[in-house]
Amino acid sequence: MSDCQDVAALMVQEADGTIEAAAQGRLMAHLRECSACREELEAQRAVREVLRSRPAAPVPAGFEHRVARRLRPGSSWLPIADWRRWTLALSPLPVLLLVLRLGGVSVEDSSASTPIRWQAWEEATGPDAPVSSIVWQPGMTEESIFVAALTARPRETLQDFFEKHANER
Amino acid sequence: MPAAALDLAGGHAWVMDPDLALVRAAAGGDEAAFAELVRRHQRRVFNLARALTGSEDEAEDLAQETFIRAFRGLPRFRGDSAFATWLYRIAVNVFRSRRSRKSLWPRLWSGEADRRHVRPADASPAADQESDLMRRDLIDKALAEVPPDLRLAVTLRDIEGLEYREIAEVTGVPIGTVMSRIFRGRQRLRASLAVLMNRPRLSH
Ligand SMILES: [Zn+2]
Repeated sequence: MSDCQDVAALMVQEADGTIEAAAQGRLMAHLRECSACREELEAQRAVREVLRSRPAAPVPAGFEHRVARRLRPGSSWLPIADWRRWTLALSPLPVLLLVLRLGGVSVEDSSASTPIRWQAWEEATGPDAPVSSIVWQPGMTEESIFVAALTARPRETLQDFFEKHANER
Repeated sequence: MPAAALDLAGGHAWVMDPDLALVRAAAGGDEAAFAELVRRHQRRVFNLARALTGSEDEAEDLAQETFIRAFRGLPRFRGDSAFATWLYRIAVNVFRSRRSRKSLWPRLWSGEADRRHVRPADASPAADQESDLMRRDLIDKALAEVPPDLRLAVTLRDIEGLEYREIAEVTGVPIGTVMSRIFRGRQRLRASLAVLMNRPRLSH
């Protein structure tokens, strides 16, 4: 009896219907003597069939716009901005800041070690820009929003900001 | 699936790649051309990402990163393989690099629950069926339990429908290894997918 491991690749091709005649002859010779491989071939076919029946995952709405925004922060060749993702992702931000305030942590103190990303943002916008411009800065990641929020000295309070944008959610 | 586009791997580069004109335009800075490339390929790239990661959020990240790297790498695209194959290779590289590093910021607030409310771009009545969702989730959960290299091979073969030599090219391993991984990947899935099989086999 030839080695079962030697026919593994042949069984893949047999299950896929891609096997050539000579190879198929060798495989059949083995299968006649080996019930384990006969059963394995059926299993290979069954798994393949299930996987091929998997419904394709639909592309989430706005995907191409989000790609476009990451490619060209600041301008967009696809003008419709998708705010949904930002507003969904934003809600824990005021909660986090509230927790920091209540916990006696001074938000201003953390600006002593200003992260690089925030420095770049400051250079672009000046230190007194409203908090909304932190959040809406195109191309920012969750991480950079987080960092910016921790180090900013907002003129506009987060409460103002969320009241203003609450209807967009 | 545009089979013609995928049939260009290996020694068939002389066949006209339907994306070639767009790729050249995009490499020259034509962003509308790249937007069209994204539209053409987003379904397959996202579907692959979803099957590999088993998560909407991670799939979104993986698919986005694939296109970002593709755009930046366009000047280095030589046309040795089809653009579609090249995209798959990038997606595989992103997938591998994601696995090997831990995210600095855990996904505190971009939970799966939020994204579920987002309407799919190509939602059709049939595509949105609950049974479809359950079937896909079950398959993706089963795939997630399979070691990444085996998952990759079996996903590219049975879900994306690539030829063995294309999988070899995309994953950078010999064809024999590809087949062996497909075999072992299917073996691993046998028990977890049994519930979805039309003719469940009695074990003996
Ligand atoms: Zn055997």
